[in-house]
Amino acid sequence: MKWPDIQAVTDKQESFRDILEREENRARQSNNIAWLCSYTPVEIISACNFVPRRMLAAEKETLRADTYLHPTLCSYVRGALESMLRTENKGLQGAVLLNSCNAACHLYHAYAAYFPTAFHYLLDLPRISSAAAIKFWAGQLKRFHHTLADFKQLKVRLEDLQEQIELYRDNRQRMAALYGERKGEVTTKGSELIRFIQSSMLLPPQRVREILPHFESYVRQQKESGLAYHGPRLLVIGSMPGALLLELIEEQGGVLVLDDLCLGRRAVSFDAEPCGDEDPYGCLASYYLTRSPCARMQNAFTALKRWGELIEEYGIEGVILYCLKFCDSWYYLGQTLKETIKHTPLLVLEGEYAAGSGSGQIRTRVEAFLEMLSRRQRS
Amino acid sequence: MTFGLFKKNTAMGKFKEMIICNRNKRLLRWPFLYFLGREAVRRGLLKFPYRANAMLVEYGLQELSKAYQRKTALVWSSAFSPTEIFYALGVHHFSPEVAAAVSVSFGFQEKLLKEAETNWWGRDSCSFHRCAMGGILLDYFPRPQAFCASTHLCDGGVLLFNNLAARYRLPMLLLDIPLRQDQYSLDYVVRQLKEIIAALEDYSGKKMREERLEEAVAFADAARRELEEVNRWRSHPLSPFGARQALAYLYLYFNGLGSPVTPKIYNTLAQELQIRINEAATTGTKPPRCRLLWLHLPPLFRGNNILAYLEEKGAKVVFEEFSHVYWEPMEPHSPLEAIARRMLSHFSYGPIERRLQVIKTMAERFAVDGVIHFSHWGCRQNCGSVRIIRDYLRREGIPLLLLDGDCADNRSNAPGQVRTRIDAFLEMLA
Repeated sequence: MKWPDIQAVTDKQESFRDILEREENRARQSNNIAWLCSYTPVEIISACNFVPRRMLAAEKETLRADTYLHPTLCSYVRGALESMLRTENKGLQGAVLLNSCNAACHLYHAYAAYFPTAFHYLLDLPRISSAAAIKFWAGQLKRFHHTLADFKQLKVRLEDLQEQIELYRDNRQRMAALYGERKGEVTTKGSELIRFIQSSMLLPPQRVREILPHFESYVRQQKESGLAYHGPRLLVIGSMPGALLLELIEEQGGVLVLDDLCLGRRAVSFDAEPCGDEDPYGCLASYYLTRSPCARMQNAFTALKRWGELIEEYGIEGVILYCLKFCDSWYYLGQTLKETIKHTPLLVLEGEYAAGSGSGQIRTRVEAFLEMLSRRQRS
Repeated sequence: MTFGLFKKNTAMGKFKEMIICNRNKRLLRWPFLYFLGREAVRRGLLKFPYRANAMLVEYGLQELSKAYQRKTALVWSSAFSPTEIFYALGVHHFSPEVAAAVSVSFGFQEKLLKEAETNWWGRDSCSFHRCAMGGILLDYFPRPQAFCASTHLCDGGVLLFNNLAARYRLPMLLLDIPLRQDQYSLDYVVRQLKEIIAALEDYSGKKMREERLEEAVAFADAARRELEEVNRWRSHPLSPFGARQALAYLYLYFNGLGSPVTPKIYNTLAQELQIRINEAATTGTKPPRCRLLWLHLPPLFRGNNILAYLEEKGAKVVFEEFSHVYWEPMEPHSPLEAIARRMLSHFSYGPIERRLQVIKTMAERFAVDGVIHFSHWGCRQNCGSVRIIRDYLRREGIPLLLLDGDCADNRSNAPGQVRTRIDAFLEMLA
């Protein structure tokens, strides 16, 4: 199925995917700040009049990045650096990275040492979500805001930050709501939804707000058309499977109903109430630390219990756990996940971000898994 | 099965076989075993190169005995945990990473690694953590009442503890250490330490007394002073004490801060070093031809002989990164702040400039001719910035050898390749 043409967005007859790519390229020309981890407070970057632009890894060999980063760091981090080195980004002003994991810290060190941009910042993200952690993180966010504003030679205006917080909150809630539609019959591809969310991490939030109604309308049209995808209903979870892998699963007849990916649902799953008169830094800190957790967070292990409920709620028949080679966080959490969802079939895939996604071995394993699930469906 | 340390037909070989072959795991929980060991050390039946080594072994056996007997609550602690609070509260702690290292040095690693690998844990993760996992899965290591980990330096330790806490449904106490050393970070760590103490009081049924905490911090500070004294003697050109001898003392570095015994051991060692150096000066002993600094740990498994090989070639690893005293003097009257400051000041955590500066300081202090960086497979923290370290040392004019390998898993050992690289490096230094 092809993505629809949307006249309202453009006069030309373009597919939605083309439109997103065009918008992403345009955003690259504006002054942008690169970021990697989905815990990055993009609201602050936007409030300082920069476009926050996520570092996406190249699904290619990482020959240049490998000279800066050790080969036992995960291929996503190496791919992100490769992409930065290869892609022309005229508007790039700097990068903000978090101590999400050892690999992300080393990416920061390499970026700061070898990348000639004026601004680079390592933000200290707690691993816990206690009151003390929220207070600490709020302090870190405030300092980051002031540093970035100084770099831009701007005065810090809390109203601007509050405005951005509200804008992002609204965008994320609307994107998260699209997953709610997938409890019954699935009429849009999971990879399309993930692609849209990915794009929202590359565009200015105002532009996302403009494009979002068209995507929502597309989802609604699809639902009304009654043309549903049939096949084993899947949950994809883990660390950064490439787009090729998601497409491969769908090509083989799997239906991506739900995901718990940093480039997908997890990036928009914030149970956030409006800040109101609250201190915007405290509010932002609370949003991020209480959101759906990444495997590096302390509460990720306890949060696994909810997956049993979600599997039932969304009628999931099989789970695909993707572990990037050398991603310790998902490797350790994955083992606990395996023990937690004992009654749902689980396929564990491990590979490199660039090379592994579309490999023959992974194709064969996905095929066999889907065949097994289809047989279970029939019986 | 290989029996690296002991020959199979000796009494010690049979003892090892008994444990390795799973015939009697309960032996490890037998208090008499530790009593026998301590008596053998006290009576001089076991020979050690330094009196301090004997004290260290005796102390280690005593602590291990307490951990296995479980008369009070037992906590598993990660390598850089705030051990002062365990000593102050009278809670026993067991470091699986150190236990894994000891198991490796005795040649027990094969069975532990195999057990971990057949239960999910593949070869890309840190082999020390796999050994620890194998140790608990096989019931060799004592099972705790709680896990306590700090987030510096590596991710793997925290994740291992999280995984085990979930598996055994036990509490996990995490000390989240920020990257920067400032008031925000200090307040945050102090608040967490208070929460951890409250939780430990709850699990152990013991109450923390302020004076005990101050005492433990005073012992940690005394240990710091004595270790500095040891390092001062180690910087002497005639010091006989290199990385080969220092490895055993990492037990104190990771586990012993807060114990009254630790400063005594370091003090004894410093005195012995002073005597040995004076003796060497009077006998006209020549200093090593080439002095080296070691970054990260060397391989610990039996049969690997990198450090001995270097000495054969006239080079000596005079100092290793993990013996560096990185924290400032500790103030016992503000114990939690003192512990928090120690936690926050680790040089391998946070901006890479900290580690680079410490490498340079160590290289100058110990007047080394070159540096060897051992990239332990599976250790993302250590390996990640080797390019930056290489470029920095090149700018500083300090030769560097990068060696890749595994500290615990002997299956990937490539001795020929390593020797060739060492030979080339020493030729270059000559």
